[in-house]
Amino acid sequence: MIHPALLILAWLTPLMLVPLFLLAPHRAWKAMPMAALPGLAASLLVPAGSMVEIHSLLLGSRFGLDQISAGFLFFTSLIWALAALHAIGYIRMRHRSFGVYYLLAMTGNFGLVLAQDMISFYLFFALMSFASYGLVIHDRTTEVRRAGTVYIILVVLGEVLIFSGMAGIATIAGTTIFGEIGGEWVTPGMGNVLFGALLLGFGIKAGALPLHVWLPLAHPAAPTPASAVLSGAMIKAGLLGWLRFLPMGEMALPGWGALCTGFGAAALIAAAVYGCFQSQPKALLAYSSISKMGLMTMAVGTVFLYPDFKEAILITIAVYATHHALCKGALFLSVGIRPGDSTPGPRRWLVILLLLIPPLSLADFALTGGALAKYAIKTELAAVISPAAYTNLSLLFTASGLITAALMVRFTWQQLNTAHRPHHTPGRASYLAWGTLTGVVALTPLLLPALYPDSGLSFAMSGASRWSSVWPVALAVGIGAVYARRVRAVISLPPGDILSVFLLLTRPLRVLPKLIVRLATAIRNQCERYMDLVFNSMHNLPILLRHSEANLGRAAVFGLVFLGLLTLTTILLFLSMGVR
Amino acid sequence: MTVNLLYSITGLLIFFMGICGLMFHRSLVRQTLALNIAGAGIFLFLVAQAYKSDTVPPDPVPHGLVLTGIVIGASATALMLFLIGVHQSVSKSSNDEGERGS
Amino acid sequence: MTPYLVIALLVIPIAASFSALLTNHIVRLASRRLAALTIFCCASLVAYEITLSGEVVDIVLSGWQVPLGIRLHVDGLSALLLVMTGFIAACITFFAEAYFGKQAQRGRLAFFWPLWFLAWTALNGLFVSGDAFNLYVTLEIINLAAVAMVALPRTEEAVKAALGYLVIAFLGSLSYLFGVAILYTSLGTLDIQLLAHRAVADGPFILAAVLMLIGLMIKTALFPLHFWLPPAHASAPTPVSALLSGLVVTASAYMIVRFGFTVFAPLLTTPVTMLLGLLGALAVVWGSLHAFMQERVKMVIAYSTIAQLGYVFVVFPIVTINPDSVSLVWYGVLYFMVSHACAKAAAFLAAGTLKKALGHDSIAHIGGAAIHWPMVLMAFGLAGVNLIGLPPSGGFIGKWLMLQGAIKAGQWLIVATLIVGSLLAAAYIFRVLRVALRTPEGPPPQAQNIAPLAALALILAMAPLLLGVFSQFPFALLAVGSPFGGAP
Repeated sequence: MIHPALLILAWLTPLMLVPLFLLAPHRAWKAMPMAALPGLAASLLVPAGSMVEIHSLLLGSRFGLDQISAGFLFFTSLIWALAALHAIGYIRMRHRSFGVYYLLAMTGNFGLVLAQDMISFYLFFALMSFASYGLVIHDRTTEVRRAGTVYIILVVLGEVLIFSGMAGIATIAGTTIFGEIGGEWVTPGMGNVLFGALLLGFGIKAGALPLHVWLPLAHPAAPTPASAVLSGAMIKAGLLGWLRFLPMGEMALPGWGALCTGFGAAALIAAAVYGCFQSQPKALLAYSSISKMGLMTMAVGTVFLYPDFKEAILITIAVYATHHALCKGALFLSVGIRPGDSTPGPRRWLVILLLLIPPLSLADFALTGGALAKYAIKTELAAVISPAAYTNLSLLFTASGLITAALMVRFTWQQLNTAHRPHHTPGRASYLAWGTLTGVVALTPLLLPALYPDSGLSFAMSGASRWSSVWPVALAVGIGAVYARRVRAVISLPPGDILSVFLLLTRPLRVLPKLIVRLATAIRNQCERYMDLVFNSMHNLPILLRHSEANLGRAAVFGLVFLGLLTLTTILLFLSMGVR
Repeated sequence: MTVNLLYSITGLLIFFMGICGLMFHRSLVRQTLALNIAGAGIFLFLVAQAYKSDTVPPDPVPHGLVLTGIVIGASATALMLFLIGVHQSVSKSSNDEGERGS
Repeated sequence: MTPYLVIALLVIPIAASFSALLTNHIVRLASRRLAALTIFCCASLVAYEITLSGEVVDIVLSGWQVPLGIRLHVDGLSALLLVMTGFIAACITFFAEAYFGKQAQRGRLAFFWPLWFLAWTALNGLFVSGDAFNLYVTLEIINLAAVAMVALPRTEEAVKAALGYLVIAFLGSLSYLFGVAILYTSLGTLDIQLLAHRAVADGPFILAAVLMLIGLMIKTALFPLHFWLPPAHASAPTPVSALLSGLVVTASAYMIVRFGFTVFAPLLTTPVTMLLGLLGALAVVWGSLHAFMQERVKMVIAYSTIAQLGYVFVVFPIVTINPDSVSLVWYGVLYFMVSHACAKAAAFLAAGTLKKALGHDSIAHIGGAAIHWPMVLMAFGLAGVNLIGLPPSGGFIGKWLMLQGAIKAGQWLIVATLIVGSLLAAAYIFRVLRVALRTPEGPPPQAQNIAPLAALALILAMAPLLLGVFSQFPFALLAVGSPFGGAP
């Protein structure tokens, strides 16, 4: 009895807390982290394969857990709980609306992980997407509102794409239950359109390459705890959408597989490189997320290419997603935490040590969860693809590892650099939340094998490829250290700032962003010129519309319309009925 | 039957004449009259259809319909004329205010 | 028991109407609150008993048998619409009390209450009559009461809108009446079920059908006969706007669906349904574009009504192209109509509350409203969720069924229309919300206490969500006496 109840309570608890915000906002604000606890309990206690059906909800809803979604629920609920704790020390109480949007988005995120039918999934997905608009525009400056507008336009577009794809599948497959959809609906004509609609619709949320534009805008715009859930938990919802809706392992889809792998690989490298040139730490992290999601897109593409290996690849994706989510959550929560604020001594060193853990883990340093996840994905791919392709892939991974390391070096440099001062000073609750999540990240090499027993991973594997997991980070840090010593004489950075590798990397490449900017400006100017042309011919349209609307109200016109419709319908009927 | 048909067609014609009147007149009073004429066409049609023959008593249902229709038509006409009156006085007073203001 | 409840649904509101006209202030106040709640309870009981028994209720008034007598016919569809009317109208009744305040005790506005309950009587009557002529009578009473209520403020704008509305409504009802007259003379009955049995697709029948259909199209404000709706709905006092856009147009749309799927079913040929579908699609696009261009919140909502009612017609071609999807379309359209009625009334109440608080409803100047009055904008937003067709609203369920029907029939143009309509709805809803969510430029204007108004708008806005979440119960009710079997 407790298990089905937990499956419902997981998403119902945050929803129930919303009215409390209207009645007792102070108490509700303090209770926000608790709202995620039933979800966490469900992910740990409910055995895989549980299912509960509510016939009276929507058109019949099902909620359940399997091994993969249990893992998703675990990191989702953990990040939401700790980000809520962080928010207590971060956002001033007068912003009551933040809590309401936060809880609604939380409800959506938990519900979609648990949903086992398309309509419930879509409901919670939409709830999450629209509620997080409120989180993004929290600060209400002009820049933030612009980011919010880009976000909401893409959200609406995504919703429409998903809705139409989903309706198509439901009609063709005759069911809305995930386990029963199968792959018959992917027919050459219509099926591919539906497939494309779903791939794009969820791709927007997952930050897949051409659709990622909202991410680097929305993340810096949103308050820190909101960015943490956006990048840690919510973009994984897009990934989960792919896994749930698209036919995984039903058949080989070489075209779609190649497309996903190609765009994934491009995102993996390009987003990370672009991220190196970001000055805002949150934008940098957003690009890193896009890059990592690229890797997961590649893995999804691999399932389409090699459907026989579905089970193993899916578990690997889940392992990778879990690690990335926790790590990215910790990284976002660390924005604004400065070791200089704490008193010198062991406490400051503890803060510095904790600040180093998530970047190292994200850069796949030995004995971290990152190394384990990378090991899993590499061995899986080695088993699946041809040796020649694997050599190319190793090269790609090495390159991405190096760039990620550089990205993290740059981020950590910004973190430790006291010159960079964010607006908000985090309170004690924020430190607690960040410290806890970082602790969880440090434990991921133990945690991931426990969460996904089917993956066959073990702690020892995180140290397996020691050399290959250490040298990129060592190289990035080392070059930075050497270079920083030279730089210090010129621009006199404060001591201890050995991590100014960013400067090293930008100098030879500084032309590149300029070139990109110039190119982008040229393209934009062209576009604007074209839009002007269109608008000039179109700006008469509203006048035309208003004019014709006014004319329709004249007695002569509506009388004519009445008589015309009368005659037309009668003639049509007489002709089509064959009445003499 | 032919007499019956004649009345029915006349009713139809009157109905459409009323609608044409509605189209061609801009005065609201005339439009009201036009709609009443269209209504009269329908009543003519119904009453004519109720007649069977000289020996058989006529069907009472169409008569009931016509009576109800007349009541509703009269109410709508009354409301319309009242609103036209209000409209004239309201627009006159607003015009006056406009003139005084300018 | 049920027959008495149905009769009570007609007797109580008319009694309340007279009581509002004749008695003193205290009695009036008590009687209208009591009446509103009692009608809602009676309607709910009727729905409950019909769901439970699974049988259609037929009442022959004073023992006169059909075809001479008058028959009341209450099936699942009627019962659902009665509950919907009861709920929406009760909410608006309480809203109107708070909205008009002491103004409605004397003077012109005192006529609001008798007219209001008269319209409610006629709405209930319309949903229970099983007779084409009674439908005409009730529809006429609704229209006359509505026109009078639109004109109540006696401003030039309102009187002009009322006159435009009356002329076109008069034309529509004459057209419908002529259709009924021809139908009676050729088939010899007015009872809908007998008509459905006796229908033969001959010349007079076709002429009758066309006249009735176009009369109803005028009242449902289908493009291009919609021009009267926005001025009338937007310039009326807010409770009247909510009644008009929520219930009155739904009543005539209900008649179209009722006749279209039963009596006129033999006439539904591909060219005719295509014409209806085309007009519906044009209504969706035209209404949405105009909604997007408006400068006042109430006008946005009024044009949105035109767009949303277009959906009812858009799906007609599916009926002839793929008869297997008829059941999907039938349930989809009805579900959509009911949720739209609640959402639209809620949207108008929210807009009216905003207007009361700010003194205007111009979109350009509502910046910060969401911060000052979050409840009002929440109600508007929830109504918007339904208008866009997002889950978990009833609008979503309705659109979902219609979309499935369209896909099953391979009608991609209809699918496209449904999707484009959603996108356009999102555009005009967010256009309002975006401005409202801006940082306020100053402290809120010193307004009257609008909390009760906002609360009522919010309660009404929750209804479509409940319809979406607990769809099982309305579907069970709709299945009673449905011509197309159980819910899909």
